[in-house]
Formats: sequence, structure tokens, C-alpha cells
Amino acid sequence: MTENVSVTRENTFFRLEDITKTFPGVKALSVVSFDLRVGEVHALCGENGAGKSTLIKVMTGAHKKDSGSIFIDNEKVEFANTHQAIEMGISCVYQELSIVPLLDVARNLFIGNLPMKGKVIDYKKLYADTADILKKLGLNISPHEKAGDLSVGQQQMIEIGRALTRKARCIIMDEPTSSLSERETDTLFEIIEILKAQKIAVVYISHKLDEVMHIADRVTVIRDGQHIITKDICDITEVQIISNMIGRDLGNMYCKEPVNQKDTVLEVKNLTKDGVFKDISFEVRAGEILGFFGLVGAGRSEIMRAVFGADKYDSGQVIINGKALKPGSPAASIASGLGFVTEDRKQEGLMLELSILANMTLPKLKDLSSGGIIRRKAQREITQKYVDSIRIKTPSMNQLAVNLSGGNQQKIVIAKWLMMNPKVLIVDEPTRGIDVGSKAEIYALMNELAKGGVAIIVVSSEIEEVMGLGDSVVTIFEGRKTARLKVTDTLTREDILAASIGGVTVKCS
Amino acid sequence: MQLKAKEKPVFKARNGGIQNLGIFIIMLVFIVIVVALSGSKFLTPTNLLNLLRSISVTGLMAVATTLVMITGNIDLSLGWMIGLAACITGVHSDNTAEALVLAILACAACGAFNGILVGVLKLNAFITTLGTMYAFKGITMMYSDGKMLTASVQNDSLKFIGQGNILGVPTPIWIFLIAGLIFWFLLKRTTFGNRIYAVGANPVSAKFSGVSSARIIMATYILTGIVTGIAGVVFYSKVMSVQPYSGAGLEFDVLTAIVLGGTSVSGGKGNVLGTIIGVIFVGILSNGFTLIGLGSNAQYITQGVILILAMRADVMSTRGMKV
Repeated sequence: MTENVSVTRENTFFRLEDITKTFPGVKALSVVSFDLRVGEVHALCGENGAGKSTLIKVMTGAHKKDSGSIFIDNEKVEFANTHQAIEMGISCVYQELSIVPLLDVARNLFIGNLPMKGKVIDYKKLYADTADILKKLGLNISPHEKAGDLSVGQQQMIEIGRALTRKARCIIMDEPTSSLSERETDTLFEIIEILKAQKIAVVYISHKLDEVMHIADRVTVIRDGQHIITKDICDITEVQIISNMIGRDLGNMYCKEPVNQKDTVLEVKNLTKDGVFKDISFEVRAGEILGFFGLVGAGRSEIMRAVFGADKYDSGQVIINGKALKPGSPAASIASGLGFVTEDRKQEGLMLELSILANMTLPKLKDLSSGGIIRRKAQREITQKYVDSIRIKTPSMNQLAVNLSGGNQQKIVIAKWLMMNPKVLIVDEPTRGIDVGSKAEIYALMNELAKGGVAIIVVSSEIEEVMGLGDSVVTIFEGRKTARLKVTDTLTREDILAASIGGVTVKCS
Repeated sequence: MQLKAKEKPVFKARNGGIQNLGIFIIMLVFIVIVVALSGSKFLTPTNLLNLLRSISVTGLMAVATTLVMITGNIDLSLGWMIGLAACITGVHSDNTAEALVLAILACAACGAFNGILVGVLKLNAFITTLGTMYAFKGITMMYSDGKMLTASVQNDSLKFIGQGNILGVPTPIWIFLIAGLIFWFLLKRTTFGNRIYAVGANPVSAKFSGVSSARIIMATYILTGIVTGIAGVVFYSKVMSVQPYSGAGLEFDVLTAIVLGGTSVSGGKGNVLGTIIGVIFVGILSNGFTLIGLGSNAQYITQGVILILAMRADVMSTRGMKV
């Protein structure tokens, strides 16, 4: 299936040829080629663990390739470190932003690269250049504003601006929209167009294929460390990209089946936290999947944290099976049968430096011990059972969580709660930063659980996800519930979106 | 993509062990130098028993403090806590049970105080325990009136704790080894131990799994207090007298040993076996310097340098592996 695209085109300025990179025990990249033309947006797609990150790291000099060559303007180059790559015009905006919150916008833009007049900083030039770059990017931000006060989206723009100060010819964007709202995403796309107009090429890495279809000129798919296909975007469909990524055809991702819904398990009554959310009431039945949708910052996650007891609230009640939960106590919530797959798996869900075993069994330890002493055989058996049943790809359950791919990490967090046999499972952004294959598996798992009588709340900023999974969707706007919509064939994206920006009052299910 | 097990350096055991081969080699090289320079003096049974006896007090404190360190915190107040315990023993040297109970209670209270400040109020452990160190110093000096305390009456059971033998092995060593075993078991095999690692590795994630880091941190400080209380009794009974200030500085030996043993100062990593090896090394260091005839000042410099080297190794092992 490998198809060689001619790399001798005149406007190709950056070229990787036959790159191979091996880590102990893993061939991360095997003779992969990639080329970039002046001013194009080239999407790089592949499942987690396919080798995308490794390829980027080779491009930016963070990893040394084992073999193969890199060319810039047809001249062979070697990057000893990321600094050299930046000097040669290859910059990268990583998923984790590296903004210094206490410094202002100008200093963040020119960090490590401040304009100097003799031995002192040339402030006049600094602020003039900053204003210039902000204007170039069409951003309405003051150069004096503290970077920490900006929204995540704006901070990302600053990172892109930083690449511009380094005279980048190529900006690599790794999952740039994973924490952006829809509006911020639009702004990003506008900026990418501006970059293109200035003959700056963009390598765009995203799991969101609709974005890829929208913004990319060409797309390259890699799988299992191998180059699969490079095509002009007009010559390929979303479905073809997916099947190339996973190497097989994918049916309906959501596979929604009707489930007999039983009694109400979770009841949230008039939950209020001053200044964050107000008067939130909803209920979920056994076997029901409730979608929870709202724009970034609407308060979805805050509500869920309060329901779970991770945050305190000012008034209201959370009731499971008729019994009110003790507020502010995750331990009490867990004991009552509540599970919470948090939004940010690295910060909140996992202990990255600990093993799969330690991560998975943490809430379960009480059941796996007698008199405080862990029954190690039982602990290992149950871990192995879940590693097998939800197919976590790992050589051993003693592997540290940090060494696994995003999809497998997410599976650990989910397995942790499956072990508890929860009555209610809250999943917040269950598929953020996860590849298509794992996504489908996680959706299947959710449906399976619902069938088994678990009440599930899916919080997501992707409308497709709440619609595809949910039986009903609750929309949140500025900390208030605006609607509860039943998912039917007639319900449209627009209905949900309208409700989530406060357009609809209450249209009941 | 199927990952094969990564090959690991021999000494990089899971959750700690001696983290860094370099440190281990430095230790071996040092021992060889000591043996060579001291002639046959180092390897005599008497010297080795002396060595073990001398490390038993720091060793006791170190195995317990390892728990505090794994949660990502630290305890600088140990030196004066043990001073207080030793003074209490001195005052109650006529009644072993009374001395033990009071010393343990006092230190457990000190530990609980640290635990409330660090665990519940979430104050920075370094500065907090620096503060409580001063407070405990004041309490100890007030309690002892700043004077040396010596046993007034013969007390054989107390003497047995510090100077006795069981099967030819000094009692303090037994106490150290038993404590080591208990704390090893606690960390490896109990829910409490697993939760300690969880809190140290990621307190937020632990919270979402229903583990209260406040409670865990508090418990580790109280346990450290209890063990330090016992250590204080041993400390006193080794010579049956104590200067109130003689515990000061012990915290440095304890912390050096723990860090050398591979416990990460940022938390989540470490184990008792590593700490015990670290304790032995610190003991050899001091013993070796005495045998070679270098004064304690040279030892301070060396120990400082070694602590910094161990920190460097810790930083490299947590940061370096990922790049």
C-alpha cells in the first residue's frame, strides 16, 4: 500500500528520507519518509503508538535517528539537538504549552531570544517587535499582558508567535486543538491560513479528522512505525484515512444499542457553587448514558468534580440509590458506587511513575486486602484479568504507566473504576488525545457497561461524542443547565449547540 | 505496537533500590580505600560490630523517615526530636517502661504536629520542619535545663536496650533490623504502604481514587515520631547519659542515607532496603574516617558532597530517562 510521492518537486524544502529509529525492544520508525512543501499544511495521522511523536522528535532534533537522512533545501543536515533544528527553521508547538505564566506576552514571545542593546534588554524593540508579531497573527492582545492571564487558546497563539520570532519555516503543531474551544479552533485555523500566506509550512498532527480534512493540503498516514500513504487531501476521504490508520475497515464507531433503562440511580438536586455553577439538577437511570455537553469553561467538569466530592459545593444534594452522598469526600462517593474517569489523565487520573498494577488497584486496595495486608495474588489476578479483557497493550502489569500510549493509559484509568463495579460512572473527555482505534474500543466499553446496568455520564466537548453515545444530552451554559435533550434521529448538532450557548430554554426529554 | 520489556540497569529495582549504579560504585570504591588505608583495622569483628551499633540509631529513624520522603515530604526536626526523647529517658532512667512510653508519646505528638502542618494545612515540609526543629530544640533545652543527664540508679533493663546482646549481636542492631523488616513489610505489602506511594507519585490522582493525602502524610509523620521516640531510648541507653544537644545533626545522616538509598526527594519512589544500604554507607563513612585518622570536619565535607551527588543522581533518574 506504500505509495511514494515524488519528493523532487521544486517547492519541497524539508525532506526526511528512510528514517529508522529503534528503542530497546521497539522499532518506532522503520524507513519512513516525509516531505514538506513551502507554505503547505501537511497533516500527520496515525494511532497512538504509530510513531508520530517519534517522527516529530526526529524532525525537531529531540531524538537522533538511527539511519536515514534529513534534507533542508536539498542539503543534507544533521540535528544534534532541538536548538539546531530551530536555528534551521524547524519549530514545534507541543501539546504541553511552555508558557511562563508570570512573564508578560512580549517576554514570553522572545524568551531565550530577547533583543539586546549591548548588555541590556532593548525594551523598545522588544515591545515593537511583539506588537508586530501579534498584528501579523491578527491577535488582539496587549504585549504587556501577563501570559498566565490569557486563555489556553491565546497561550497557544503565543507559542506559535514564538516560532515566528525564530524565523520558523516550518511549525509542527502537536494536537493543537485538544484543549481549545470551537471558537478558538476557528481562530487557530485563521492563523494557519496567515502562516501559509507567509510561506510557512505547518505539520499538523491531530486525531480530529474533520479538522484534518478542513485545514490540510496533504495528509500522511503512518502505522506501526511505517509510512502507509501520502495523498493530497482532495484525493482521500475521512473513512479512507481511518482505515489506513487502523489497517482495517471500521464500522459505526459508536455502535449504540437500545438498553432497557431501569430505576434512577443518581440524582443531583439543585447543586450550586457560587460563581461556578448554579441550580444544577439531573438524574441518570441504570443503563442510561447521559451526555453532558457545554463549551470549554461552561462548568461541566466543575459540576462533575463536585458531584464526585473532589470539590466542595455550597448547596444542593447528590443522591445515589436514595441516599445522599457526603459532600467533599471522594472516598465516601467511591464507597457508594461512584467512579470518575477524570478529564486530565496525566494530572488527575494516573500516577505516571507507578506501575499499571499500582494504578489500577488503588481504589480497590481495601477489597484486595485482609487486615490491611494486601493479598498479592488476588491483586495480580484481578489486574491481569482487566489487562486482558480490555486489551491493554503492555508486556507486563509491572510496566510504569508513563511508558504506555495515551489510549492504553486511558484504559488503565477506566479499568480502575470497572474493578469497583460502579453503579454510576462519570467519564470526563474519555477520548481526548486518543487514537481512533482506542476510541472505538472505549465507546464499545461504555455501551457494554450501560448494558450491564451502569449509569454513565459522558462529559465531552465533542458534539458527535455526546450524540453518538448518549441517550440524552444535558447542555450547560455559563454554569447553568439549559436543556436536557433526548437523542433521537431528529435531534441535530445545531440543536445541541444552540442549547449550549443558551439559545434554548428548556426543551424537555 | 507491542512493547518488549525494557532492559533495566542491574541496580535499578522497581520503586527504588539503589537507583544509580554510580553511587553504588562510589560506595564500593570508598570501602576499598578505607580497608586499604586502615590496614586490617576495618575488617575486624569488633570494628564491624561497632559500626553496626553506631548506625542502629540513625538506621531506626531512617527506615521510618523513608515513608515521609516517599510522600514527597521531609523531616528536618528529627535531630531535636530524638534529643527530646533521650532527655525524657534520662529523667525517667529509673523506670524503663515509663521512659519508653513517655519518649514515644512525646515524639508521636511532635510527629503529629508536623503531620498537621504539612499534611492537613499543606505547608511546605522543608520550611515547616525547619521551624518545628527550632521549637523542639527549645522544648528539649527547657525540659533538660540544658544540662547533661546521667542515670542516677542502675537500671539493667534499660542498659540491655543500649548495650546488651542477643545471640552475640548487640540489641540496638536487633531493634534496627526488626524495624527495617516491619517498615519494609508496611511499604510493600500493606494498603497503607501502597497508598504512601500513590500520594507521593501524584496526590491529585490519589485524591480522585479516594485516598486522602492529608491522612497518609500525617500517619507517616506520626510513625516517624514513634520510631524516633524508640531511637531516643536506644540513644540514651547506649552510654546511659545524654547531652540535650547531642541529637542535633543526626537528621543529616538520616536524610543522606535515605537519598543515597534511592528514595526520590520528589516522592513516589524509594524503599526500605535502599535506605538500609544508605545507612550502612553513611556508617562506613564515619567509621572509615575515624580509622584513617581524618577528623570529623573532613567527614562533613565528604558527606555534604555525597548528598549532593546523590541528589544529582535522583534528578537524572527522574528526568533523564524520558529524553
